[in-house]
Amino acid sequence: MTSPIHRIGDLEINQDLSVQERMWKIQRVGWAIMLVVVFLGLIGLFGHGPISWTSAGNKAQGFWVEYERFVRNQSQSTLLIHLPTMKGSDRVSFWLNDTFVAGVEIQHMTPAPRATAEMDHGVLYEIDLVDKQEQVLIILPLIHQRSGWLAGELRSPGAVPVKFTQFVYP
Amino acid sequence: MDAVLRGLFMYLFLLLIFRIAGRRTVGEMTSFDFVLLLIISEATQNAMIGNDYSVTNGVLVITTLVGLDILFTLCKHRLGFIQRWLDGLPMILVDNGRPITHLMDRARVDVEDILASARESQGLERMDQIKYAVLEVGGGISVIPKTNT
Repeated sequence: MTSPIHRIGDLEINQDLSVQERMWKIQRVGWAIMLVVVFLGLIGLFGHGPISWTSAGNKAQGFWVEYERFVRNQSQSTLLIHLPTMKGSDRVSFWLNDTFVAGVEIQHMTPAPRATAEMDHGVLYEIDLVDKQEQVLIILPLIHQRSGWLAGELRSPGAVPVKFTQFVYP
Repeated sequence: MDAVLRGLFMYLFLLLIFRIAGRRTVGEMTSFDFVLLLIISEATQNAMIGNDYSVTNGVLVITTLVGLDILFTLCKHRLGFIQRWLDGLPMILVDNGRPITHLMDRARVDVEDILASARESQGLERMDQIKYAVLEVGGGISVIPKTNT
């Protein structure tokens, strides 16, 4: 049931300039939206950009995490975890909540942990230190496995827990 | 579920983006347009298939896409307004040898495009030999010559 065909001059044609005009207006709005999306993509609203990178935690106490606010499902991102070391200890440890661990596939943690253990609804990672240093940087590449909000919590002995949230685009 | 939703989303997204881009983008294809289309298809494939290369996933995605296509064709056939908005409408760009420039500008069609189409399809030499030139819904330009040329 198509609409009746109009006749313009000798032509039987379905031309409708008022509808065409509306289509062009919508098209222009669409172009503007596309431009905005590209700009937002450049600045990192959809991940991998300047407004996406942020940090949480307390730099003064030496325990903080650098992460991306916006990440994408099945795409890689990295957590940079800064840990304080205990005086005289040749080992550091940190704990990550299991909701976060279940939502990601952890790639090759650097430095590699010597042991992992399930503890208090999370996973405890223990890392050996070769030389004594005040601060340790743990690089944790991840591939996100679920879309939506993902809440993470990091704990380290003697430090205030660090909470952070990521949004995972589908 | 994931495969069906991915197929559904990408189908609707492509439908929207090609309607927004307008007819000139897909009509009169240049070799660069063709390359662009290949790149778009590659990006679409990645978004739809993801990391799942299983036969089941392929079957689900293809069934979703073809099913949607059938559904839209049925809707377009039964409801005129859906056809208008999804396919667009034809538009007369030359009326009795006189180019309608304000419509041509909006539709991003040049006089040269019309003359090229007139040469290719009808073997015409000049604008005044054209009775009507119509920008069709598919993006092509059809030319009807004057009978007494």
